[in-house]
Amino acid sequence: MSAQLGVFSDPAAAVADVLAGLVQAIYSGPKSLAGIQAGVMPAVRVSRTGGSDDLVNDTASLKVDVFAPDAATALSVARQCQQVLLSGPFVTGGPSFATEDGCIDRASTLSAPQLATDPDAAVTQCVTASYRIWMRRPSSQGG
Amino acid sequence: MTGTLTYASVDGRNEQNVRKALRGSMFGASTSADAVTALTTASDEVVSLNALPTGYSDFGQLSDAGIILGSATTTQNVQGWGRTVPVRADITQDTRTMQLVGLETNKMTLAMYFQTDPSTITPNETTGEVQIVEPDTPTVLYWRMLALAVDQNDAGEIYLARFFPYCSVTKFGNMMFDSDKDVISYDATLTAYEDSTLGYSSMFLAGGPGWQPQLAAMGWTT
Repeated sequence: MSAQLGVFSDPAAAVADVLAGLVQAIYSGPKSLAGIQAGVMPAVRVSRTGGSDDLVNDTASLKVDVFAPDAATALSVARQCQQVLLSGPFVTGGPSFATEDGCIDRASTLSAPQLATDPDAAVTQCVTASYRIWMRRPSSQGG
Repeated sequence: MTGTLTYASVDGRNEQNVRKALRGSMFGASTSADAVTALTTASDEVVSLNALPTGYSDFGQLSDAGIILGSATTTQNVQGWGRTVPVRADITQDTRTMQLVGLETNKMTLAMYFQTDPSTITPNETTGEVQIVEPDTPTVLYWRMLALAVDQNDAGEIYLARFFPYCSVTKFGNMMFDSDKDVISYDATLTAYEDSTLGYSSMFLAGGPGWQPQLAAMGWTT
């Protein structure tokens, strides 16, 4: 019973939790390119770009950026991230998947992984993709 | 004059009781198979899903619409002289249906769509080719069906199911052979009848490791 609804979990943090097994370095929310380059590669950065909600669902749009020294690695990791996300649902403490940041009921691809940098340039390569996810509050929240 | 009562003090809403069918399957079996009597079992206080009785098979991946469970009722009202509202109403018909669109081409979807006992659909030993002759006079194949939906919460999986012990396909959707993005699918609507041995046409079941901790929140005294 709740007069005031609980707080939705951070969808970027939840997605980062789900993808954590794919790479060593994963960040949710703001993280500068310089900061990413200073860490381990390949790296994944998850950030919320929009979305909406209702009483039950937080429907978030997310951008998942993969950084790597070369385009092939970045693309490979990005495509793995896509398949992991699409294979949900994910839930805290669930028998099949785990995220400490709430239930991700479903994910769909808004924009598939695509290279955002010039592959010939001597810069850190970035592959970006965007997704929509549907989340509910964890049982510890609300209710 | 009693104390001030506000809605907050009687508010019984609980969003943790909101369920979704995140995943699920339709399982079918011939009417000679055992009925589904329990979804779950408990061992050392750990609740887990029961194996289905022998003979049940999954129809495979269904369309995103999942399984549409319908209940069409017909009501007969009794009007009283001088009254504008009925003095009583009787439900005279209650037809329970389940619609699914199988996306997989497999033995179960073919058997359902072509009304053929799946045990009689046998691939050619040499070529693997499958043939099903459609009779001019439609035959009726009776099934036991279990529609299973799976949700999850922090405690684990939650199962909600409807078991129909005796039903048959009463409506078929089109099978599309085209080059559009649609797959070749198997669209069928089944109608449930009473199983004369079991004495019912439909049973709702719910359980699972995520269900049990919610019992008190759902209104049961535990």
